[in-house]
Amino acid sequence: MKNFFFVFLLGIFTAFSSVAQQTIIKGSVKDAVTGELIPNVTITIEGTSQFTTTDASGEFVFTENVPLGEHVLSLSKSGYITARFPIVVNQAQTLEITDMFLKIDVSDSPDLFTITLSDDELNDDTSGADNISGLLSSSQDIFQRTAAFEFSSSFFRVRGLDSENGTVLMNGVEMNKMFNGRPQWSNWGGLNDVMRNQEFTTGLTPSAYNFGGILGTTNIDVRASHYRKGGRITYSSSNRSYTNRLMASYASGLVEGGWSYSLSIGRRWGDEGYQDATFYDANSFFVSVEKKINDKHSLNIAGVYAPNRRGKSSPNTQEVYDLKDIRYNEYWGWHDGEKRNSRIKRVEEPIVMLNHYWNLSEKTSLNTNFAYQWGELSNSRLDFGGGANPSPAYYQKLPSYFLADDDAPDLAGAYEAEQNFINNGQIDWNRIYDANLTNNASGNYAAYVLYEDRVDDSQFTANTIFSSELSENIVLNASLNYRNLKSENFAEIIDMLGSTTGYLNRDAFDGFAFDTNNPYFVASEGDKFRYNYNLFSKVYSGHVQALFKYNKIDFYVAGSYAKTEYQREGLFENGANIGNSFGKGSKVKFNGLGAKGGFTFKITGKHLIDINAAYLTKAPSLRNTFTNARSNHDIAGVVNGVNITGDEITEEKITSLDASYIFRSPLVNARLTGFYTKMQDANEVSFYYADGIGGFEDENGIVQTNEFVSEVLQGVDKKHIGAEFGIEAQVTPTIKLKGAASLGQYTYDNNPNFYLSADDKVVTYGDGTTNLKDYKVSGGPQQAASIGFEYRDPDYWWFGATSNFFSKTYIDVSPVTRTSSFYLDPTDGLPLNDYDPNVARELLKQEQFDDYMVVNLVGGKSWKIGDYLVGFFATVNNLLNKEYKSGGFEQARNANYTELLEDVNNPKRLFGPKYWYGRGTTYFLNIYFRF
Amino acid sequence: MKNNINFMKTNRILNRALAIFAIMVITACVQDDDFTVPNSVGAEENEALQDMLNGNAEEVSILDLKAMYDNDPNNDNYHSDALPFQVDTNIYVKGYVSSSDLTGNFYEEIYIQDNFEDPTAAIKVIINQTDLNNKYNKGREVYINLIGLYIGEERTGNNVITIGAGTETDEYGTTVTSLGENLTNAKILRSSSTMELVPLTKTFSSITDEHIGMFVQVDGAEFEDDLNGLAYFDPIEDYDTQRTMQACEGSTYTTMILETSSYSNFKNEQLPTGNGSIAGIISKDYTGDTLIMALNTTDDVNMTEARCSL
Repeated sequence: MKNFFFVFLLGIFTAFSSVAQQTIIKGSVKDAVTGELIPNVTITIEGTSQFTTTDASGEFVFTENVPLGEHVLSLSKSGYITARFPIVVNQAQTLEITDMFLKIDVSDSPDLFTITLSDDELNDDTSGADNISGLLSSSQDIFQRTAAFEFSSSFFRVRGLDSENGTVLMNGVEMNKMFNGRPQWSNWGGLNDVMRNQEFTTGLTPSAYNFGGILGTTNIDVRASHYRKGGRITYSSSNRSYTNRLMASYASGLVEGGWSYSLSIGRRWGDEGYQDATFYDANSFFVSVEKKINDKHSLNIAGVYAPNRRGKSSPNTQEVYDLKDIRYNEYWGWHDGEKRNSRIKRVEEPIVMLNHYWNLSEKTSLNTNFAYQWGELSNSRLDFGGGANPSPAYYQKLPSYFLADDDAPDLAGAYEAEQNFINNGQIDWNRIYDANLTNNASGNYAAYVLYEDRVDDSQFTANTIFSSELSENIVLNASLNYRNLKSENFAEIIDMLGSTTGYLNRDAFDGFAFDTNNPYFVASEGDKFRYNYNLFSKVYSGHVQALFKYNKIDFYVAGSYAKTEYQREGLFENGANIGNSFGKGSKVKFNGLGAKGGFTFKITGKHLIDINAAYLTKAPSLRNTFTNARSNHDIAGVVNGVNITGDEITEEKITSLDASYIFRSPLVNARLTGFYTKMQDANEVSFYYADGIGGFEDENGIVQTNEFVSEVLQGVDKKHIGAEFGIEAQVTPTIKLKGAASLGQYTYDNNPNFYLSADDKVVTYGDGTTNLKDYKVSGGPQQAASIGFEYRDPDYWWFGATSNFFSKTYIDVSPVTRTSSFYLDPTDGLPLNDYDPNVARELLKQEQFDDYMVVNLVGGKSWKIGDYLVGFFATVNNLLNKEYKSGGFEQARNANYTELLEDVNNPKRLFGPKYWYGRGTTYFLNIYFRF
Repeated sequence: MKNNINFMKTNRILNRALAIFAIMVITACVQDDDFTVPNSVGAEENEALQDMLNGNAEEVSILDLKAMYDNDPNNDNYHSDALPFQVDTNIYVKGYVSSSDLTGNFYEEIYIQDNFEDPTAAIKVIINQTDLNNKYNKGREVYINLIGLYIGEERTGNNVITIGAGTETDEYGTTVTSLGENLTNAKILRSSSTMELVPLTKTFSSITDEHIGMFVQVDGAEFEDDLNGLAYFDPIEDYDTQRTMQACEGSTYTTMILETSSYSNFKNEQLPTGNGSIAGIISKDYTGDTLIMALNTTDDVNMTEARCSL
């Protein structure tokens, strides 16, 4: 039995010739352990684009365009180790292969993958980790796999692209959120067993389901009939995000009456992950039922519900990390002996869907889907309308503040602050409660409340996907989609923190009413306050593509169209935005067009050239359309109904090209790709409290120190250029060497429009742009490489190790300091007196983080006990406990030359950049039982 | 048949798995969201207060405390030679908070007076924190453990006697500095009682330096004639705006200045044009020469009657 591991070397099969004139390859695939025939195995003739899947009885057949001579058959199915069988095909003969076995993948790599990503970090928007792109599946491709397993914890992004450039589908239904275009991975977290049937097309490669983003498409197949019959129980232990995970799932396979069903439940929990007080509390439920009505029709209904809550962790300045450590989190404090985190992310967005599969003929199918997703997404935080900033790392509480005293460094104050921060340095819940109790006594409104920023979406999706083999050589795919979203956005008080007096719904600094229709509303627990609005979005889209397959060349062309319509409806009339806040705003409409094409040229079966190109225009996401939705109807470029930039909001334009050389031999697989992507006319909207930024003076000319501004970049161009490489070599039957590298340069490619707005006030500087051209795009290392090996013992155990190298990780620069406000005096428009361009150049240089190396280990073993399979695997990440910065951003404070220079020259910077650090050494242990 | 057995076996396993799962789900609690007021709120402070009161510390009156500092040691009317007095005995002072920074008109300071009604003395305390009203609220009974603290002024010779944490010296003399967070928590201890402050009723002419820090009410007050239509704060000023109040006392107008900070949230409110009562804290202007009144809140202004005439 043990040799089945290397069945591609030892595979025993029989071939005989039939009398038929046609050249045919047929056969069946069995489970190496149970001997059962396996359905839905993808069989590919390597070096061609010919592939098929095994049917319900585990059989397959190639009848058309079968290439002659020596070839390799590749058998793959999620959850199994991919096997390769050399074959010899003779003219006009039938090659029948009956004893091909697939071995269950004891390394459980799809599971490994989702552990490193979806469970762990992807739902943590604070770290930007939900923005890891494209690593959507454990792909066959060595580069993609390395990016997923080894690079992801460094927030590496494939080709430097955001996750909104990849499309995630579930049974053909798009899961990317209309708010930011990104998939919300936590919506199906903890359901790894049932989410492992994934079909992944990388880059521009055509997907059968949609046009897709430029990073590719992943379709998660949750059809009940597509699951392998059997059950599985998994327990995991880790010190990364959750401490414990328990999952159970069962699939019936096809049972009497054409029914099949699949169920899964899971729970992940823990009091603390790697960062302090990052608790984890998640449950998951999944059910899918399919009824095969007849050979032509099948109906599937599926439900996914994965409510989860997590304590978030903070980015910190270097001063804070130096006083504490890289696990430090400023968001929590002791509450009666318990660590209480003030910032909790909660996601509860169930999905239900109905899928209809219709085989119009043997070669034509139509898949129609209806899905509805609704629920709540929330992030909690403290509001402090009547109290001091509760953040323990607030700059006025840190030693640097005392050292920067204008007269002379206040050493005593700095020492006290330092000792306080080291010894406590957490939120003082007692003080917060005490403040509210005190205010109860004096009849004042609450000083502090805990509230949630809520997004309650309800989205309906309908689509239909058509596929037809027009001829031996031509496949036609097409789809029509409709999506309709209502997104309710508001802040809601979830804890009055001991207050009985309520919380006044007015701006604590400027005093205006958040809702002039109810100007002195006193909010208490469960009440909406601050802001309340709806966003509506409708998208109609469709695509058509044709795939052509010939002996020497495969090629495709595809086109798409999407019509998008957004509208905001204010339910509060914001007192600082009267006339531009309440009721429905104007509709914002976009037309997106896409075209792409590409070909694979087979020089020989071993050497292939693959080239793809695309040009598309697409609507900006809701997030990058409405610039200050909490207060008003403004869209990018427009403040209070007036166009500020002279440019209308427009579709983003993306041009993407890539070219690959692929080498395949029984021992070595390699791919080298060069890529170029240019993105134009994008908007970027962000929010922060601007402290002392010129332009926001009150009526007395006093610069507002606590103005909540939205920063708008309009017409951003970026250029991503680079190469990626992957190679794996089976040097002995047990040892595989592997290597991968990505060398990229991702830069801003123009000086986009820039303005800051706060309510109806707007500030632009100089010519209204910010000088971002040639600054690097932040977000993960632009260069990454990995080398490693895997050893697979015939005796069901295995291990591997990799060394991973990362470099060229850049800080996110603050655009406001790259405007002319940096060096011009706002009163007379002349350069600041002390301005020295050489010093300025140094101040504005983009910080590049140190290069680093991370070593990861993985290993496991499995046992077969009767009909059952028991196994475990464990991983250790960052074995050498390397401390490294994984990301960071400049604070938008001290935005002019004089102030920034003064801050930099302080003994310690008050407003230095905030950073994220990668985790030190962590482990993950997984034990499973299959029946 | 074999399939059936298998199926039953599978079911049994599944049932057990579900049972284990259910147990783990129930028992595995993490931070939930139903927190209540922590039991430990105020416990530490209360303990410190009891320790102080039950220990051998001696109470001194605010009047006596103020007398420990002499802002003109050589009686030459120049104050640069004055030195803040560091308390080196185990004494404490009790008082009631008279000021409130709720509206932003006071900044990193509180005044305390020796009684909630009919006060005879008051003193200022400077604390390096904002939003003090949600801790040292108006009318709160507080005890200040004085040992180690300094009694002095923030500006020498202004006669606003102030409790501080340390001293600093410049060309004008030696002044006291603010209490930091730790010292504040250790030294300024609240009892649980908050009293309704009864303002001390005075006339403008009878207000003297001894009233500094007290919550004082003047009846029959109005703003000067030429202030009609103006707000408490004048936008061309940077920090404080002074508005003159007057009252008809016998055959003359007596006056006093009302000072309002640019950070107060009522700064844009219109000055009342009528006559009536006004209550606020007595203090000194920036130069230290002139007595002023500063409002806790405009709720303490009730000038709705007809203006007075001489």
